Amino acid sequence: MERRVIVKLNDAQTKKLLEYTGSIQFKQLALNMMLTRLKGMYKANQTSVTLAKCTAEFNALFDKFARIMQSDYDQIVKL
Amino acid sequence: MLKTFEQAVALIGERKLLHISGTEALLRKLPKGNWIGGSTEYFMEENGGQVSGETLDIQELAFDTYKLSAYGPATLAAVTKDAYPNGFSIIILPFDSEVHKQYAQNAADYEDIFLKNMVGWISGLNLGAADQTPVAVNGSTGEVFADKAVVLHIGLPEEKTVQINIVNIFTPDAKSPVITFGEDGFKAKTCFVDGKEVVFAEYIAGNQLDTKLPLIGDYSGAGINISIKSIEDGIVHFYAPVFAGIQYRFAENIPDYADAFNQKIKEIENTDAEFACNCILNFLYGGLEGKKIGGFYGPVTFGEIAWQLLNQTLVYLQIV
Repeated sequence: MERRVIVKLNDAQTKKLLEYTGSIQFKQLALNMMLTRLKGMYKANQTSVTLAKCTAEFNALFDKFARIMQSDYDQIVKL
Repeated sequence: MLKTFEQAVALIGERKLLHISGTEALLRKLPKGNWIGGSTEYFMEENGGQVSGETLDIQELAFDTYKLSAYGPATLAAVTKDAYPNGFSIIILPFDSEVHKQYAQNAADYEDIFLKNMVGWISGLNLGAADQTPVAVNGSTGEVFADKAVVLHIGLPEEKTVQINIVNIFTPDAKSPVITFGEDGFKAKTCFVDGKEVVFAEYIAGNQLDTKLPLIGDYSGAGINISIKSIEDGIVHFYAPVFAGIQYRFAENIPDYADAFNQKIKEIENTDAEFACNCILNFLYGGLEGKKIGGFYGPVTFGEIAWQLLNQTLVYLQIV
């Protein structure tokens, strides 16, 4: 079991993640699916409002699954 | 675990919460109780893959907080709103129904879907038998649906976390070009191969591609399979929709499906699952009848759900 920590992305980290073109296999498959959907949403509307919405969605996922997503968060902050 | 009809009736009589898979005929005969069910005649069990019209696969779910609901096309999008804040939901959708198509195309946009834990399957039938209908059953009311999804929502205590995983034995063929589609859908006449538009059926025939191998969509690094159902009148039909904006590649050939599953499952530390299902195409193309696949048992299905609809994939759910 992974440790439970509070992890939050900021808008700059979210932007980097949304614009990342490489492959990342996350432990939580939902994160790959969410990222794919949000990439499409951000590509269609690259505004600060959309970015903030994406950040909020990622952080809600991290918040909910903090016990099992620490390694996923660590991968993102290393980008 | 496979049970006789009489054993299933006894478990329902004990008021256990059950997930049941079996033939439409057997499901229709079961008494009302705390269960949901879906039709299939194919199963992965401890002693190997089985085809049986006489037995039912039953998963006992030892949870106290739950509700059973049915959803038609007009209400299906509410399925994530009805899920417990912490818990999971098992959804069964009849093959080729409007709810099957609607869920497949729109689930990723359902409110908070990735914050809920949605697993499930597409119910089917015996491919060699006539006069069968894929159904989903709400055991609490006895209603049998060919046109509605049935969902078991389960609530868990705050300290429990649900983990949904997949076992995908396929990897993209490094020699396959990138294939994209101009629009979402269960069928395609044309596609783009490395950016050049071609007639997809002609591309498949011209390159002698094996349509038993799935297309693997690149979901930002995770491979999601889409299987080819048929090619008719120059149109390629799929078991799940392709999406514009997703890059696909054909999968590499798998010489031995059972061995590929067992190798992958060997790497999984804990195989105690509350729910698992595997795909009918893996069962048929991989000749899994009578072959043992260690670890995960349950119905063999006509589409698998791990939030979104997948094909040719083993899905399992655990509580950690």
